[in-house]
Amino acid sequence: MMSALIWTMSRRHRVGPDTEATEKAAQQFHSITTEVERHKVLHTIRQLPSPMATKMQLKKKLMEGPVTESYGVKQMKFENKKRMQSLKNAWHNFKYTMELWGSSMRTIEGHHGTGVVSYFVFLRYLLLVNFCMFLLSMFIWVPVVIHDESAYTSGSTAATCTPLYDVNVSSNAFELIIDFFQGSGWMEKTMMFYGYYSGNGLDNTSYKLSLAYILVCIFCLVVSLILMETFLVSDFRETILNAGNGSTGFCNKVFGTWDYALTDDASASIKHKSVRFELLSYVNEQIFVKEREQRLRDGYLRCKLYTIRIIINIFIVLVLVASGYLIYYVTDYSTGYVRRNAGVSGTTEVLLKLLVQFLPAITISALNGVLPVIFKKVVAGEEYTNAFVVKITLVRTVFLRLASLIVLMGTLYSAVTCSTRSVCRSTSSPCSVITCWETYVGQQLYKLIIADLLAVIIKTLLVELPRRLCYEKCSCGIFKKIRPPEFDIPACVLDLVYSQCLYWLALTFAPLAPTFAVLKVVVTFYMKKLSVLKACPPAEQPLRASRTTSFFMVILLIAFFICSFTVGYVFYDMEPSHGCGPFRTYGHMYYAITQTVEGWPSGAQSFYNLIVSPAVTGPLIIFLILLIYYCSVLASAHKSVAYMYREQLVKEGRDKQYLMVKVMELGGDSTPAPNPRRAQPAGLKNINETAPAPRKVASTNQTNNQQMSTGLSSPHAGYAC
Amino acid sequence: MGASQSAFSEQELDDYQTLTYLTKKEILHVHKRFATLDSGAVGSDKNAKLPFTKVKELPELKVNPFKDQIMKVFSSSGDGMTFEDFLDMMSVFSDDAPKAVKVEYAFRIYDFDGDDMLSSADLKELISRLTGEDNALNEEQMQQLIDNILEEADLDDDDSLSFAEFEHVISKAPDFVSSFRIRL
Repeated sequence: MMSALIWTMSRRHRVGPDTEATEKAAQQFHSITTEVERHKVLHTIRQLPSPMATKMQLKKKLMEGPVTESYGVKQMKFENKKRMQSLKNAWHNFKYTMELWGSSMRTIEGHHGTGVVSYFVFLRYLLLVNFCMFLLSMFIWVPVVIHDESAYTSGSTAATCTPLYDVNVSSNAFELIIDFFQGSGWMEKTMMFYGYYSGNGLDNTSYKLSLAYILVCIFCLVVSLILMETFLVSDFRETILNAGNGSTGFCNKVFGTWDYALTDDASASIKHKSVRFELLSYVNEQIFVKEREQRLRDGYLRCKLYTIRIIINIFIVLVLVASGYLIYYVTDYSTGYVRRNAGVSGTTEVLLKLLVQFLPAITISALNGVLPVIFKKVVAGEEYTNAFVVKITLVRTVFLRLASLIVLMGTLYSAVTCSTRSVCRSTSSPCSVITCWETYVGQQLYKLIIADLLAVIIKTLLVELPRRLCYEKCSCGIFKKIRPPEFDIPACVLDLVYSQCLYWLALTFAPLAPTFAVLKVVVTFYMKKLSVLKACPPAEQPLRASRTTSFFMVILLIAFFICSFTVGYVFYDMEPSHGCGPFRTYGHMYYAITQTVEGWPSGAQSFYNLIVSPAVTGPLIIFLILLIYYCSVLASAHKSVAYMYREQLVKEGRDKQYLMVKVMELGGDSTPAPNPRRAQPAGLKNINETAPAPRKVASTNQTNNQQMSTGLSSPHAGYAC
Repeated sequence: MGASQSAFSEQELDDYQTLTYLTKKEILHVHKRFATLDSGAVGSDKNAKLPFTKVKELPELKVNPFKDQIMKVFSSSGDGMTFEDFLDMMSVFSDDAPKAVKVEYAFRIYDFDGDDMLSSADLKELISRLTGEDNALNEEQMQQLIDNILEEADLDDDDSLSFAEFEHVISKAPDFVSSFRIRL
């Protein structure tokens, strides 16, 4: 109540340090003596739109006088809150001094605005996720490094199969380099891949590597999910709040468009141009939408448009299916080629073999580069609004990326679960000979990761920078056609999502993958920073940061669920090799957990069995579904409440106008009617206050019965009812 | 950093931290930036009042089309900015300031004639400043844009936006908070 009083008092007044209004408020402070209440009032004072001197004065008046002790729950809660607040302040201070790449981000923001910076914020956040995964993966390889390997004695199949997993290590220097890129030869038996970790050396200790392995993978996924949720929730809330009733496109474009963070002259002039372009194109778009509605009244034209849209969608689906088949074919060809030329030597043949092995990665990158261009061209025929065009192109590109990943996984799955398998779970002819399928999958993912890393470096250094130099230096003939490179945020973000998927999948098969992930994110940051500051000029049509960040997070979440499904399937359903890895003694990987549970006391065991049985999980799922339904009902109820408030606002405005007119009528005809435009809605202002004080008057000694502002055409006494 | 730190006592920093949305380190950084505008004057009086011409030199304000309005709104005396005014400004533009405070100040900044309503003239001035002098819209386009804005936001049909209407429409504008931000 006190807060409301202070708020209304200063709402539209620019009160100075010595105004009467301030004095009046200060007098009310005598009644506030407990710490809890003072804190609340202090919070309100902070929110006042008044100069610092006023706030200091109010605070001083508030704090003078004795503090009465208060006890009980309220005081305890307040103490907790104070402690949390000081912790939060300390944390903010720490973050401010230790902010990673803070100055780079500010430079980029000064040149390009907040849209581009959101990409870099996303990148920095992914660094955090990958760093956490790196720390967790240390639980796998650090114990193995400390305790060396020893021969397998337990588990008869493991003992017989282990020697069969033998890798030829060549001595040719050239081949050693090639092996690094392929992940074969000497690289295959290193810590990088699953095959190295037998866990035998740790038999004497109580540290079970198999359990640690499976738990680390699960925890990495859980930690990634938690970090994603924290990042997503804050953005998502804003998106929900803003998806309210009524369109506000124009106001958003006018009031929210100038980026106050810009510091660069050149960027500012580009921003002016782009603002003009955006405003005009938005006006044109509204006209376009109206025209389209008019046109579509005609049934024939509407049929035609819908047929076109259906045809285009079918075309896109066919294109996606075709690209999926292409990836499958290329992967098949590549594995077949490697199998046929397993023992070649000689420089050219080996190089050719390397190239063919990277062929799937190259195909995927090529498709990711070419198909979005086709999508952009094709979407023009569908006659959507600009905003929707961006969204639907993005959705289609996402399908493309995820599809290529899924097809790749499917191909690997079929290669690995080939029917002719030996006792040691290794495949033999006529399928490709894979003695340790986990390492094989790890190798394929490793090749994709390397290709990804090289692609980023090559794209920035060898494509974008030269293009920019060309555009600036050469002004002759064909070179004039080359436009400078654009910083395409959606494409870059999808790149990040794709590579993050690779790392989530690779963790299970190549425990050192998070190290590569961290390295890659750092390299990507510096490459992209170079690209943004030196190669790409600020965009003419900047991407709206607000709407797209949460969309990207949603894509990341979907990709995350696909990856975790794959990992879960590997742990649950696939049979591990008997010749390599920490799970060679188990029938399925998750037996590592069940074996540990069997070692617990019987009470804990039966509790665990109960929890994972359908008797508990079934009702739990039903309960969660009910919860979702309840939340959606709540959301729609809130929406209608917000609509009601909007209506109320309109009504109050009209009420005020009506009252104003009535007052003028009663006041007689001698005073000319005031401009009804100056009416304010009644509910938000104390009706005993006057119109706001005129800004021209610098002195702040306004009394409550001041004349109405000089903006009106005629002087008039304050309308005190 | 050491010099500015000795300029403020613990109590003063505490007060500033309670009354703004900045942390102590950020407040000291703001003072450092303020001092670079005119080191002589600020060195002798840490709360010196700098004229608008000096404050305009701040890189974040230099290219802003609303810089004169911003300085006018935050200046407590009308002819210059003291450090406390500057601190106020940075506090409102910081990340932690609640939307309500930002909306309040945005309204004052965009209210060019100071009559507490965003009339058509205010909107016209706003749009022409946004597009810059070289890219001005012609009369017809400007009028159309203003009509569209009033159609969206003017709930009581009085051809101008009151604060309540402005607040109502800004609460739905997703880009406002992310663009109304200056980080030093």
